This record gives sequence, structure tokens and C-alpha cells, in this order.
Amino acid sequence: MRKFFEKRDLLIFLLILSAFGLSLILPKGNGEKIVIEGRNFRKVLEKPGVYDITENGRFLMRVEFNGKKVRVVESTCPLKICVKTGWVGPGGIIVCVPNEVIIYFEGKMDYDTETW
Amino acid sequence: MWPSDSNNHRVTRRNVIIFSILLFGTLGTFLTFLLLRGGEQYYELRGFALGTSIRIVVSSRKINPKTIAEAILEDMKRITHKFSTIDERSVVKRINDHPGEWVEVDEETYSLIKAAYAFAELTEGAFDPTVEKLLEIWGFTGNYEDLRVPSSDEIEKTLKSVGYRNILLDNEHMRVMVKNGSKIDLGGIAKGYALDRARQIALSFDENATGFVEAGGDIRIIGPKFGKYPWVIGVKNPRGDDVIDYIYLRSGAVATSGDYERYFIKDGVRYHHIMDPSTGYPVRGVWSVTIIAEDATTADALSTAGFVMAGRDWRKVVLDFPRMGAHPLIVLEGGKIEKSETFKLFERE
Repeated sequence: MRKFFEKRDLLIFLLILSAFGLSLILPKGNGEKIVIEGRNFRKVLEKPGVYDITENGRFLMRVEFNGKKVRVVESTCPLKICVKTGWVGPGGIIVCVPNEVIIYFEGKMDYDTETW
Repeated sequence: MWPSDSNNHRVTRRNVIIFSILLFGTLGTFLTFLLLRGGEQYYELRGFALGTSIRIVVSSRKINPKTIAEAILEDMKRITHKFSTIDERSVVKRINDHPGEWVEVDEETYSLIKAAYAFAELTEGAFDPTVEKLLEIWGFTGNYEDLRVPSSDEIEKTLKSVGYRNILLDNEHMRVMVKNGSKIDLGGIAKGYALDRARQIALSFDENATGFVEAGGDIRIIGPKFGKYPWVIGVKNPRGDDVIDYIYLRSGAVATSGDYERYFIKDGVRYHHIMDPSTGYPVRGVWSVTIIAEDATTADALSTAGFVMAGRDWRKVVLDFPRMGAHPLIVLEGGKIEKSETFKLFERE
């Protein structure tokens, strides 16, 4: 016969609570996915490596992702602001205005945006 | 009644209380969890305008936020053409192409040029909307293909055509004239203006819209996060990939001017694009200046002016700017941080 309030009921409550607790403590998003957005493409990098970014077959830039940070190694743009930006971590952004490319991290950060 | 065969499992008052606490506790945690994870309701749009990257983060209960974000980006593109120095559709180009002649302009253009003039007066020329020719001789125009250090003679000569007093304004007929070879460049204020317009556009769709708009690191708050919480904004380290400070804004704007974006290095010396209009050379002694203000036009214009003035005397910026409604954080050469007491008010929630 089912009893009103057993020890295993308490266990269920504890399990639910700890699941919520864990999901709050664990990092929100992994912050290790890189999004590269151009005029008409969107590329997501999940694994470390060096990637050539092209648009309609035209080489735009070479991007290096080391698993934690990202940088532009070379670019076809004139002033190379994107290259000079150097390594960028979660929350940071690399902008290449002439090629209209934005590179940023996907996932939740401990702040909403950055002034620069 | 639930059947029960022992005292421990009877529906006693005590058991009901424990059960209720656990039930409501779990529900409460679940709701808090939902609230904390509620960021998904913000629509985000990224794009390019004003010569930089744009990020629009907006939420509305009244209208699809995508409509608001797209209207904002469209308006930013309009402002880019209208106040460019090279675009054929530009009003600024029309004024610059007719030196010594009165050029009739629309109300928006007149107000913005007048605002630029007022910021120049307020900062005793540290902000100057006529530095265009200086930027040209250093190569900081167009595609930056000809970056170079001009001769001192060339700089001296160019300085003769720099000075906001070379802009004449005719209130009665809404006309503008440039003289002495000056050229207007609204690059130091148009971004801020576009951000303020962005907020107005969002509020015209829904007066309770919330979010923020960012243009190349300058930020205008539309409304508090979820209508209640401050937006957390990191201040970029001018010589690193991390942040050096956090600020919390429910309203207002923030803008940063730095030497780390547009620059070139010649013979081991870094030459960047923020010119001191009194010397004709890039400002020395400062790495970045961040300004918090009520509106983005003020933050934008005064971050440039603050950068120029901090190169001469950073104390003046820390002491004088709060009276103009601008709260500065300055990173001096070497990395030392100076900020006004009023800036510190934004460092906590």
C-alpha cells in the first residue's frame, strides 16, 4: 500500500533540487564555440585549429582557435585591425569592417557586453 | 484520506507541513531557475553600419523584437550615408564640397552639426569636428592604404584649416558654411547620435521595450535587463584581451576611445587616429578613456575629447567631466587607471 510520505519521496525532491543546483553551478554554455559571421555565411568553430575563411570562393582571412581563445592570423583587409586585435577570449569580439566579418564566442558570459 | 498503516505515514499536520515546504521549495527553485535562464526572450541582431559592427539586443512584449532591431539597423545605415565624408548621398560632403558658401540643410543635420559645435566649445576644442584634413594627411581615411608620418611643415600647414570656429551656422535659415579650407567630419559624434536614435526607435515601437544597442564598443541602453536588472558591461583592457572593470547600467550610455584600434607603428613609435587638434599629432600619454553619460551623443563626443584632454592633464578630465554629466575612467600610458568618484557609482549593481 502506498504511504503518504516516505523516505524515497524525500529522495525525489532532493534529486530535483540538486539537478537545478548543479545546472546553476556548472558553467552556462561552454563559452568555447566560436561564431564567424560574414555577409552571407555563418560558421561555428568547435574544435581547436587554424581555419581559412572564404566567401564565395574568395579568401578573406585565416583564423586560429586554440580551444579557449581566438585570433585572426592574417586578413586581406588593408589596416589589419582584426589581426592587431590579437587573441580574444569569451566576451570579446573581433571585427573586420572591410570584409564585414564578426568573430565572437557563443554561450553565456559573466557580462552582457563590452565597451572598447 | 490516504490509507496508512503506521504512525510515520499518517496524514498528520507535521507531515503535511514538511510535504508543503518541499513542494513549494522545489517549485520556487524551478521558477527562479526559469527566471535566471530567461535570456532567450531577447532577440539579437548583428550587422555593419557607421564603419563598424553593430549589435542590437532587444525585447518587447508588444511587438516582434526582430521588427524593432531591423528598423534600428536600417536607420543606422541611413545615418552612415547621410553623414559620411565621401558618400555621394551625404549632406556633410555637400557642405564640404562648397567651401565659403551657405548650404541649406535639414533639421536633423543642422541639430547634429550644432551639437558637434557645442561639444567643441564645451571642451575648448579638444573635440573638434574639423580634424578631417589632419586625418587625411596621416592616412586615417578611406581604406588606410597610405598611412604615414607627415612632415612637421605639412602638419603646420594643415592645422591652419583645422578649427571648429571655421564652421558657421545660420539658425534662421538652417544653413551651414565651412571656411578657411576646413572640412566637417561628424565621425566623433554620429555613432553616439545613431545610438540615441536607436533607443528612440525602439521606444516608438514599444515604450516598454528593453535591451541595448552597441556600435563598435559604444553602448546605449534601451531599458533594464528583463525590465529590472542592470546590464553588465566589461571595460576592455587597452593592452590585453581581458576586461579591467565592470559597470552596471540600467539606463544611459557608455563609450570608449582608445589608441589600440586604428594605428600603425613606424620606427618603433605607435601612431593612432585620435589627433590633438592643437598639435596635429596623435595624443600621447593615454591608452583609453571610457565615459558613462545619460546619452550616447555625449558619451561619444566626450570620450574623444576626454582622450585628447587626458593627454595634456588627466586630472582636469576626472575633475571637470562629471559636471558635464560625463563620468570618466582613464587608462594612462603604462596601465595606471584613474577615474572620477562618480564613475565608481556605476561599479556596483
